Amino acid sequence: MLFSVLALYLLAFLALPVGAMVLRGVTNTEGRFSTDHLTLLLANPVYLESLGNSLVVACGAALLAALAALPIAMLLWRHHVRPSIYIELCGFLPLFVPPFVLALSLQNLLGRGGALGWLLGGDLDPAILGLPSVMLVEALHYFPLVLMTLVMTTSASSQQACEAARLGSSWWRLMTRIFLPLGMPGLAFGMSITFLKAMDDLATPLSLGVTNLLAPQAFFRVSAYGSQDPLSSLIATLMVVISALAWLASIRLVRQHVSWRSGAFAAAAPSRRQTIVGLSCLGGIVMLYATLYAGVALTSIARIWSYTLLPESFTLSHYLTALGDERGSFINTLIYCGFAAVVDVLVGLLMAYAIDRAAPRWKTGLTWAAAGLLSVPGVALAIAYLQFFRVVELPFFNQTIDASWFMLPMAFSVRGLPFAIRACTIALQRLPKSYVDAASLSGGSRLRVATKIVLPMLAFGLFVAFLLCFGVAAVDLSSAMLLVPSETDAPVAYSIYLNMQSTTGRGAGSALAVLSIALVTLSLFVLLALLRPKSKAASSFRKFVFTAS
Amino acid sequence: MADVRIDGVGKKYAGRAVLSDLSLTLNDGECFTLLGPSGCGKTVLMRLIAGFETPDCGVISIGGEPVADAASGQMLPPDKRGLGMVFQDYAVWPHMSVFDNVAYPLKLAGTDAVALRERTLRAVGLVGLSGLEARLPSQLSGGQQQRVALARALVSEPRLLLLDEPLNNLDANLREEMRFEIKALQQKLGITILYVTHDQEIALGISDRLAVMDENGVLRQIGAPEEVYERPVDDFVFRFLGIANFLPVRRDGDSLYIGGSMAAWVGPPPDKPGATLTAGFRPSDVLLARDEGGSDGLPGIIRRASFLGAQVDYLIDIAGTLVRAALPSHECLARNLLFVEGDRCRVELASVQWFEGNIVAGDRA
Repeated sequence: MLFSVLALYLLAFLALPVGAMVLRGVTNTEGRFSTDHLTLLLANPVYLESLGNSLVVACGAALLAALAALPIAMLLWRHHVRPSIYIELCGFLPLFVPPFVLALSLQNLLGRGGALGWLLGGDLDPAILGLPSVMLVEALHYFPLVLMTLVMTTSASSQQACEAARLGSSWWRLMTRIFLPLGMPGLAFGMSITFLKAMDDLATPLSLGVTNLLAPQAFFRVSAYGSQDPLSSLIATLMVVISALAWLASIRLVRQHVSWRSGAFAAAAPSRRQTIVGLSCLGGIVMLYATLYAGVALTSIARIWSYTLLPESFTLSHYLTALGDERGSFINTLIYCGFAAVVDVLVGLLMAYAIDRAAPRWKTGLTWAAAGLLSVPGVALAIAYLQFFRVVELPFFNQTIDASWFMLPMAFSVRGLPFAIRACTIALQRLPKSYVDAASLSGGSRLRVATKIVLPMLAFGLFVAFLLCFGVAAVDLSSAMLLVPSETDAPVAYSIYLNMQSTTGRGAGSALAVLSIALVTLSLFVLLALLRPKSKAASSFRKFVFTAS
Repeated sequence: MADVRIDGVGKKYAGRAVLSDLSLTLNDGECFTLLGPSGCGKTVLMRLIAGFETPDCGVISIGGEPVADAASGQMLPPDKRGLGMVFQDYAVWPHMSVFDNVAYPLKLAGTDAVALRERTLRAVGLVGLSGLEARLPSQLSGGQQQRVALARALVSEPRLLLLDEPLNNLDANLREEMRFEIKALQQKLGITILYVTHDQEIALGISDRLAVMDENGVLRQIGAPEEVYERPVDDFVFRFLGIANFLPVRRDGDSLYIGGSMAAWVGPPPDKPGATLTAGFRPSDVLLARDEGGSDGLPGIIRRASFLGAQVDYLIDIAGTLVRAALPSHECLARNLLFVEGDRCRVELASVQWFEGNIVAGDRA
């Protein structure tokens, strides 16, 4: 019964809409297979250029982020420095903060009237530089993620293994023979996430005025020709195929099993040298990002700021506006993301259970397939929903689903599902079979065992899954921009975007962005504090920054 | 009565037979150990008895009452079999206090509050955890968690207690202590215990009777610990119960020689017929003497000498076959038996198990 519901969910909200979208792109009006749309697409230089640009931006962003992360990770590895879990967690912040905020911050700093822009004559205005700006913003945004996944995988090997590898090896040999193979799973994961997110990003290129990319083109086709446009289907299909290929390529690279927490460096307190190296690297990164996001932070408290290095006067009114006028968007976010996260936890738990019970030969394939859901771009999913649910009426609401906000949380839930499955798998692994056997030996119904033993033991893991999915949904602007029925139904991320598009709304938009980032950071830290085992020993600053146990 | 009868039980997983036509009887009130290597199917047998798995064939009866009958499809649920079980990982629920963990079976049975409290505290006291009732498992050591699991298994006064390698996760000292405590509890309560382990030391120390199971799930020998240890039916049992030395012996008329050499066998005569035999003995069965030109015992050369504190471990070459000897250190010192590599010695054997054929024990050194 439960698995029928699971199958129905996957069919209704993933397989059928995406399948129908693909079919629409490759069939004619009579429903026969046709290459007419493809010919039309390939004949249009704008789409060909967009395809090329999307590939360049996505590949370039992944490569740039990797190139920036590699030397730092190598330096930390050679000095046996492992950042504490708190710092590592900051590397995952990019997953919960929309990248267009960085683009707008850079515009505030480097734009013609910005803090530095007026000094440089606007030469470095991201909006003027176009495509390279998009690539750079995506690379800068996802660089911490690539760095931390790389650091986590390389430092999973023991300190002795690292020292043994160093004996008599040149740094180049050490890097190519030991460090890169060790870090490949983390590097491939970080790069593939960067690629997929950059390919799917809609708000960043639009914020920077770049439209010749696949995601904006699909968006414009739907806006101009309606949701049934076959060319938008074809563009979205192309995005799915490219993303899936990128994901498969990353699977090829991640061949060895990796445990990110085992055999961590530095069992003893970090040495002075380790502290200096670690602090230099991490301090530099913190400084960089503090500078990059200064544009948004200063705008959020600036009364007047134009053609000066710093705002001429300060105010907190933008925060009051953000908290007052945008209260609706906060409520919308709570509803959409909360709904999506609940669906994710339920579906994720079922799927994790199914994978756990699957025959060993199926297990790996199913795990990768579940993670492969990451490769369904938000823009593509949104287009698929608009096409598929156009004629489906929402029970009791007397309107078609595509005119309601219902599609949005469902799209969010599909996008968050890979995270939910992973979190639920970990939760299930913490509930060995013997714990349930012990309960069933004492008697009682299955419901009683579920409520008294299983659920309390899973509760924390499910709460983590909920928060994770909530966070992922909260920044999913690619789906939201297409599926939000009206501005009053917008979630916070979309409200930030809308505010930032007008000169008068930039202050409130920036305040909203700062509040969102602060909220996400705080949530992550609270989550980690809950996750960490209780320790009697008081932790020093060094222990906070670098791992010591 | 809690005697357990297992008649012709079989179980397959993914087409592979883990247990085939297995029959076994546990007597009422005895501590019976199932001893075998990892993956041999001993835990499967325990889970079949507990009712977590269904047998493909055969009948399992507890106290004369069939609890699983593959032919008729009759399966009594685990909670109706009157069992207690302690799992390898203890399975102590982390969100419940010690009291709640132990009281859980009584709560489900609808025991009234006064009796529940009294019986729970008694079970907690029985395993030596009085005063820790309010603690959560995370506030207990591994040994204490193991005791909680034991108390929970005992609180409903089961007729049969199943112990699935419950001492594996404890350190050596605690393991030994708990072994004695479990045995003392069993004698005090008089319940039947089925203990599953791959550790021969625990099996020999705790059991009234034990069964040795091979890697194919076949029971090789059933008997009292001293009987199985002293009179193993085959070399598998002999090897499994401790470090085993094997010397091939050739019979030529009335004479006995070691392996293919012309060195004469000197020691207890074989109790088995045949031209090719193997003498099996433990390192502790070896009696060493310095080679002073006499003809007592077998001639040997010390190939490795390791001082291990309480005893000295020697690897000795006897006519091309390597055997191990363990001598108490104080005896070596008192009798001038501290050898170095290359020394010649004479070897006598206090006890020998004879096996037919030539058994090659390549990994014994």
